[in-house]
Amino acid sequence: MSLSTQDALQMIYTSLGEINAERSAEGQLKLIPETKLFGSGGDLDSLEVVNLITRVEALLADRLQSPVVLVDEGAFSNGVHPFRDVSSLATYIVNKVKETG
Amino acid sequence: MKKAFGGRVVLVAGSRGLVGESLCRFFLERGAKVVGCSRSQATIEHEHFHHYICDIGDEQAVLKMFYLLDQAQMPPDIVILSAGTASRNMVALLSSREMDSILSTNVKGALLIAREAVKRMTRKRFGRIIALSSIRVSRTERGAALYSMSKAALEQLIKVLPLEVGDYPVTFNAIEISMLDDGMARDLPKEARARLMDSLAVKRFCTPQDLCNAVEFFAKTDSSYVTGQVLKLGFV
Repeated sequence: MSLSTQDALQMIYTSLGEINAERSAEGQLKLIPETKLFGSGGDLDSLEVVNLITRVEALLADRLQSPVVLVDEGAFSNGVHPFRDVSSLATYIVNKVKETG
Repeated sequence: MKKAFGGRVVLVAGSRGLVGESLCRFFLERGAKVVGCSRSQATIEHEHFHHYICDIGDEQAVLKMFYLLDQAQMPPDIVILSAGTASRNMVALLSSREMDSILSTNVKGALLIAREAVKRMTRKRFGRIIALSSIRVSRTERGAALYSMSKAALEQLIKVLPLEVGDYPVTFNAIEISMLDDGMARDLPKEARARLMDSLAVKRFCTPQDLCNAVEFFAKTDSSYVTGQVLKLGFV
């Protein structure tokens, strides 16, 4: 099983789009790899992070035809927070799918 | 006539036994689609009843059940955490295996079900999670340490979750059941059972109807302002 970075980015953008739908016009998140998500300078509050992960998990499950949990023991093990920005999350998702096989 | 829970999907985690089965039938009679899960075969046959054999302490089994529910367009609106295993050994006699077993079902299982349910409920913008706890949290008894601890943990989960969903219309409540006339009560030593009964405000066993009535209150759409509460049923 594999997933391209572009596919992962698209899933994140789709999910962020749903979050944007609940935000004001001034608070819209940019759908670009550099958008900060969580942590220092992150644009999402903790509830929105949960929503983002949940939405991406649902899209991934549809794509992979099996259940997916993105956050596990390995999520924070390499020292880089996978939810720091869109780009790091996309990389994390691609690697996660590779691991899943 | 529209039934009270028509269009709702109710997941009863722990659908066998007096409590689980009564709750399933209660919601089926009120128009809900009911999903039961337990470690063994279903005991209910009904066109709107679906059953999964699932050890809720097993993450992969829980993930698979929720995935299948998603595929069937049946993510639960209402979840009742009814699964539970009792333990009556004094701490000095508890085996590690018994600890793992009780905590796996009563605590980890509840957490896993709640985790997956909350993800879906926040997306759907509706949800009710109702945990069945025990008088053993409020009234301690020799030999009840492990069981009491596990149910206290469940209640704590119910108090924390409202803070994590913010403004989403998802509520979490728990019910401490006094004493049902089921296997657990019958297994109690006669004296302990009499002592417990004497301490109740309503000096009779809790019936499945009593419990269903309390669950219904928390499950109702109108109960959106009631969350993070623990109801003592039949005692104070």
